Amino acid sequence: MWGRIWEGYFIYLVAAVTFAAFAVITPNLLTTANLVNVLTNAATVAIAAAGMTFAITAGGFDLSIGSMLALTTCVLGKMVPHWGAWGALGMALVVGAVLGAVNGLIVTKLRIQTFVATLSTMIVYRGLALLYTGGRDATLYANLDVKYFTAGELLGVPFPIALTVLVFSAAFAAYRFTPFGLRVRAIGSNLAAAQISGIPVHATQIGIFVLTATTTVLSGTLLTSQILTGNGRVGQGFELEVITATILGGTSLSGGRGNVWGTLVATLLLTIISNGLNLLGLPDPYQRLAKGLIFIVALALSSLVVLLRERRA
Amino acid sequence: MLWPRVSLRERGILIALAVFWAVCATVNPLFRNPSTYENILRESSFVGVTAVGMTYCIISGDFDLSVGSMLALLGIACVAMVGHTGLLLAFVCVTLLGATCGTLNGFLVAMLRIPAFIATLGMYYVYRALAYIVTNGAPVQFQEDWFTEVGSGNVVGIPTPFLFLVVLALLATYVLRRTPFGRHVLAIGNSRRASEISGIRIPRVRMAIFAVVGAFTGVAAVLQSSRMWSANSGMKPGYEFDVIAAVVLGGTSLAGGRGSVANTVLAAMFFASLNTAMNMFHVESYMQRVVIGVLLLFAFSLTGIRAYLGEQLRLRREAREALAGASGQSQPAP
Amino acid sequence: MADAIEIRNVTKTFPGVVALSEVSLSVRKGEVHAVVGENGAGKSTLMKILGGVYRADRGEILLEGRPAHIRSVQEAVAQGISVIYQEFNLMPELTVAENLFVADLPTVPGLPLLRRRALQARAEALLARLALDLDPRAYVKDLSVSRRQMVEIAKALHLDASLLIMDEPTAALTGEEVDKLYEIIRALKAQGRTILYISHRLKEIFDVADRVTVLRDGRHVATEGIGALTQDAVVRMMVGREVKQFYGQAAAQGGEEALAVEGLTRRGAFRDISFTLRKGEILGVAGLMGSGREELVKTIYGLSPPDAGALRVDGRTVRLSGPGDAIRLGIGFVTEDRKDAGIFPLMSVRENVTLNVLGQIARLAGIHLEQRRERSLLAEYTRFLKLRFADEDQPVMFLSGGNQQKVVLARALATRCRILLLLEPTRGIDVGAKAEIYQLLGELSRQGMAVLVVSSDLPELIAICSRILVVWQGRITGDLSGSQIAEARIMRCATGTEGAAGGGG
Repeated sequence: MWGRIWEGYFIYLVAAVTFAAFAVITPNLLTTANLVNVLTNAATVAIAAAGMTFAITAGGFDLSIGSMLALTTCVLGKMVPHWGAWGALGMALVVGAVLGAVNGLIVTKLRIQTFVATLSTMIVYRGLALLYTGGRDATLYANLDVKYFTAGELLGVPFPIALTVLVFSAAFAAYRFTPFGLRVRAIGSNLAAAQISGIPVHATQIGIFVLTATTTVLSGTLLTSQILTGNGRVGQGFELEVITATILGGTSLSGGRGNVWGTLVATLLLTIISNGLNLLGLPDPYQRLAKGLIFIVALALSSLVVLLRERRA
Repeated sequence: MLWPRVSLRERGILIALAVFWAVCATVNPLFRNPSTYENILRESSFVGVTAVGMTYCIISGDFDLSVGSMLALLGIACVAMVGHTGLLLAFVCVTLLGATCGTLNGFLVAMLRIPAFIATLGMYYVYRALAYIVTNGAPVQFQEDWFTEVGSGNVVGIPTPFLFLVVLALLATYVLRRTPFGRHVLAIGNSRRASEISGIRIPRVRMAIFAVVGAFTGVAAVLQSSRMWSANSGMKPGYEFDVIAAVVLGGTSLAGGRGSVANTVLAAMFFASLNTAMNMFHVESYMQRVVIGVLLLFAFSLTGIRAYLGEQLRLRREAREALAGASGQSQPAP
Repeated sequence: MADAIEIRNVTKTFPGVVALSEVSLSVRKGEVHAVVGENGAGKSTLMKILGGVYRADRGEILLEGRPAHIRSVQEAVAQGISVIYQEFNLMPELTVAENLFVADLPTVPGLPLLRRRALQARAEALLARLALDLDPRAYVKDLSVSRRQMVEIAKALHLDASLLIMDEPTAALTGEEVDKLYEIIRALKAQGRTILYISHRLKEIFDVADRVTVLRDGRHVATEGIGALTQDAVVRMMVGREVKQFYGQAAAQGGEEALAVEGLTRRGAFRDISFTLRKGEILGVAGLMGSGREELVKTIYGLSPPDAGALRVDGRTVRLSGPGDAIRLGIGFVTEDRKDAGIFPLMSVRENVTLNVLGQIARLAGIHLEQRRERSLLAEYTRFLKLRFADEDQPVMFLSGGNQQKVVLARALATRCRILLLLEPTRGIDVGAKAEIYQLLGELSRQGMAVLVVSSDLPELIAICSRILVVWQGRITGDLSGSQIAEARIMRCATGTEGAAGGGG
């Protein structure tokens, strides 16, 4: 029984401990300004990770989101001047949904494994992003609309934070309370059984890819709002960061078991580490080093606990 | 002797490569020029060498996402030391260093039982960060001819890196098919439990495989940094995916249990040919990515269809064998 | 009254192979109808046609007198047919209730919201109909095999199946659980459902079935009421030849000690086990599932370390750090789980057989494997074990179950072991191959091999072993030889009624 609790909540424990440690070491951490900063930085990865949680729960993942991120910034970069921030956002969402559906169709109709399929579309979509902008940046300095996404507020809360809360609440609700969420878990648990039991497996899988694409577009919007350019080269390695956060958050790679809030906590954890190390004056590469080490250590501990449980059984 | 009796079906990549070359040669005169092929062979080696090692890894049911970062770290080590130690010693040291990194990966996966995807994902960050820290973000360079010749030069008309690739591939094929170690690699990929019962020391073999991947990455790092006469922490982004794509395109299934080093090499050559052809046809560089991606999808959907057909064939053969083998001495009903 | 199912002249051919040829039979409504036959006889093909996985080439199927067209699994289900396969079609990370209603979830009308309380209520109601002892909130991954089977049966109930087809339902159940299954089957019968029961275990067929159909080589041999048959008669019909030679000669008595176990203990599995295994004898180990037999054998082979006690091989005390040590000491092991722990499916027959002895047949200080040496080793064991395969380089997964088992056996024997440990060696293989394996074991024991067989098939053990140990709850409750060996006595020891310290009565 302890093992089950540990698996679900250990990330909270790790996060709490780390947070406490940093709070002690760097008092600046606890200022409101800083905390808001942390949450805002985390938003981009977190929102995409919410979608990825579903993909990994279903037993697959989406490697193409880094390229979709770049494509989003490009679409926004080019479309905002003509259609305004919200109009361009709408278009980006449509584009994202289409690309997500394409991913889904490739996996379901062409029967290609998700790893290989999204590996290929990762290459294609990045190419499309670069083609679209001709490799040049599409700058938006002049446009103030789009800055709302970073600097604006929704009901008194900074927009990125509000959006993150909204997305995760919706994701959690979908996961726990909708048939869709159940089907995602079913597919991840035993694909063959899910197929035989008559649930619409293909439709669900396509839905999952549309979901990861949609959350990525939202992340991309936040990013565009921060860097104020549309750039076909951003987001390299983004997919790995998002997958890292999702797995660290307790979603099992073998499928069937997802942890939506865990994903959020894990993203915050990783951001806190970056933030704390920043405040300590540690340069960027050391932060990446730390991220990698924490990832491994945390999962090694988790692995050990599972091993011990098996030994005792 | 080394060539097992494989059906044409399993050499699909060879056919694809031959057809591709034939088509290009017909359409573009540059493709009838030997220097083009020289270029292709050279370019295919930088990914190909690591892919040969990765083939072992994937056959045994594991995975190494950190090879790109290892490449950067090892490339930096190579460039940094070659001026002081000379080429041969640098080669040996970098390969050993690569093997050490690989062993570390293997330790995490085989001893601590962290899933390979996760462990190597973590090390992906760690190695690249180390590379950045060690160089302070700046590239390191070494321009002496005797060094750059390795990556850029030829031996009896064949690009040196490609010679490395061929020798290593032959060695790897031999070990895989004709040594106990190779059999153990295959066995682990087929069935962990049966391997344990057969007395195979699974953690050791897995660690050795990761060490092999690291060592091969080391060789690739020397070749690559020699070609570029420099190395930096950001070199070859996406390298790990190039390597894995070559292995998978060559027909080795991610599920493990079987695979072919030769096919991996051919797949690497195919990618290099593709890139070269697109350059020659003046395909816009951004369009090139789209083409590669689409082609990968096409190739994998073929594999998907082939797997589906293979499954049908298997079902039929099962039925046939069952009938034949079961009552081999059945007599007519009394 | 129309039969539940009538099958007329059904024929199914795969390229090069006739799986079913003009098979006709009828199953009466509300009966338990067993289908038996060797592997390749056509049982599984017939089952899959009824289940909608295959479609017959020719012939008709009538359900309750009306022609049925079963073109897919969904259509089979829609027409009231449910198949319960050996590998269950369940989703372990979901709860029982979720598994049951996954295709049919209660939602708030108009909104994609689950009504969990309704789900729970429906699950409880469904389970109550058969008095199944399951908690709808339990996760399937935490359930035992027997409970998971109950979930499958409940699923069939939910789909209101009028015909349930069970494929080897007792393969992984303990004695108690088998009884519980019989109860469930009787309850289903009482509800007017029809059961098609496919099994290799003739004893169970005689326990629970009303009528039996025997298939052989894709043809229908006979359908009779169970009262009119004996087990021997059924086997004869299945095999088409005399059964007397079935089990082969009884094994010889043992010679000198080959392996001895003293006070062997593993916490939670078995306690204070002591016995001797002699050269040339076949020692059987009987016991119910969960009695600790498998764990005992695995500990002897070095797969898990004992907590206390000693192991002696050829008179010398040894400690095994792993199977490698066991192999070096001359102990061979054949598992019960062929698919996951026996064969290397994608590797060739030759590679499978030679795997344990690579170090020995390799030249150049154990590095180079010569194909010639491998081939001659393979040829030796192909002859000895009568292995049948089309092509030595073909992946082992294409072989029949019986031949696969022989490959696993060959691999163990190739180490020239003198002690052979076998776990359920004839599970899931057809009668013809079983007979061959019994003969082989007899031959091996005559050559001086010390053989230990763990099996749940009592008639098998009784026929081939010279001595039988019985294990109950981790302790030896019986050591029977010669005339002491009798099924009733073995069962008493296996259930702790006899032989347990302080037990009895």
